[in-house]
Amino acid sequence: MDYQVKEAEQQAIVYLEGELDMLVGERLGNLIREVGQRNKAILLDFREVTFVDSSGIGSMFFATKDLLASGKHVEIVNIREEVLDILRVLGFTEALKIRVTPLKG
Amino acid sequence: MYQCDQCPDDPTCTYCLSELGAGHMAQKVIPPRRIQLLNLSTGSKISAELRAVSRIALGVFTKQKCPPGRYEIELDTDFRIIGSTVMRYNDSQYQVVDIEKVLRKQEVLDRLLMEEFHLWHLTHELEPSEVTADPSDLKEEQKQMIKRELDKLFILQQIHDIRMFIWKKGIYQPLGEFFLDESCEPDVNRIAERALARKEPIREQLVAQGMDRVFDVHVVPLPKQSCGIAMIDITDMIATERKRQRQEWELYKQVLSIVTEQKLVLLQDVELYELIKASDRRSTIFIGEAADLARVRQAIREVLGACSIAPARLLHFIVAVNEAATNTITHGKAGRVDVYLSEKEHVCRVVVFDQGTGISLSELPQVTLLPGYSTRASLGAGFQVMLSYADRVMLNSSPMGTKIVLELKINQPAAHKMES
Repeated sequence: MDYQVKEAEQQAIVYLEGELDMLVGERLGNLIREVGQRNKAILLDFREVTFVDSSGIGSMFFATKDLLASGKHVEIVNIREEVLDILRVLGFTEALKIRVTPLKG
Repeated sequence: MYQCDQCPDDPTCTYCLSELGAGHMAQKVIPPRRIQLLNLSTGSKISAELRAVSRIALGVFTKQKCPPGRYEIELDTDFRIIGSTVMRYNDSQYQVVDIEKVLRKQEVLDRLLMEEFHLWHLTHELEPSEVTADPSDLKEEQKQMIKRELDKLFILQQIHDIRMFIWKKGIYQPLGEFFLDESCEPDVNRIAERALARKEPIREQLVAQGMDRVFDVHVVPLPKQSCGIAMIDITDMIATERKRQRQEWELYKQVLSIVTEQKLVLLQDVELYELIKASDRRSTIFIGEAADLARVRQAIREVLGACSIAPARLLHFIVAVNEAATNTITHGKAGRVDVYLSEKEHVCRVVVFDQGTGISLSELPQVTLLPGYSTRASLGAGFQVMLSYADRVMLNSSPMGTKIVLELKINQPAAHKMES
């Protein structure tokens, strides 16, 4: 997994890239928590994410849940339809009820 | 009228599940299965739909009258359930049938004979508690002691074959008309000497090879360097337990198959062997750490690359295999993934072998069927992915480990595509 973070005026965009599997571990969750502390809104850009599984987004799930509970805004954007489908099957989107915008193409 | 009218269109409705009283173990049957209820006292038949299943009860929906009583339900040609219904709640068309027993045809006759025997046995049996129930001037402590002794006797009555010996310096004196199998002697000598040295009783299981029997051996040290030995023949008990486990396995297999619309299949070792025999192994990946998962995904892409599979379908199958492979790291010690292709059957089979402790029968429904993101990196979520993205999921679990077979149907065999 690679990433880039752009921050401005309490808003952050996290550009994620690559495969989110077990190897990602706690890194993704820690990144989201850290960025979430500094900002009010966090956009997770999934354009370059080609693979996700339950262990890869496990820490992201709990980090996002905590941020939402503390009143922050978290959103997933530009996610490929086939990757979004995996999040749906995992119950990720249903459990978090966050806004998800698929990639237009 | 009632919530169940919405079934199966409204997936959020859980009316039928909560009525079963089986907590999270209950599952909806989607789409509902048409079944017939045979009233065992009147012989009349009622058409109904099976809408929910749990280990203890079934949920059925019927527009016909369904008076309280015992019913037989045939789920498969050789698989039937006997259950009873209670008074219908609020005139609802939804009916809960409590499972009394599960029958396969060949068993029916045996079961009836056994039941009659038990009934007779119970009416002739002296309950230990009845003996002590008589109010007398025995002290409570004494009563308790007598009850304990009677309970022990009651257990001994159940044992057909118990052999007792007095042991002294390697010489066995039987208390009754039997002998000690020679093949057991060295082991029993060893246990007796250890019991004497430790001054405490020892229990061990021994196989008497000469007799082809298994004994539960109890050795109790006695005064003057001698021991009391009791050998209980547990061969039949083990056989009965194995039979019971096989039956339980079969029951789970059928229920899981029905609930998952034939997508989840439990496999015995032999069946797994037959499946593998029918396919060619194309790749093997050993998994020890998270970094190996990328190699698994790559291997599947390579094997299936030549087949015409829609990219999303291929990605999702890889996600399913990846979940199974991840489990080997999370729950097992080490794992292995074999990728097979059967061109004859037009199917790709990926076998994921997890050398962990295996999944016990009682955990199966929870592990395989609980949906959603329940716990961190949960098996539940992983299985949901496998069931959604593979065309068929087969599971073989033993204390040696768990094997999961994930199948993907392929339209065109790889070889053909390569030629063209």
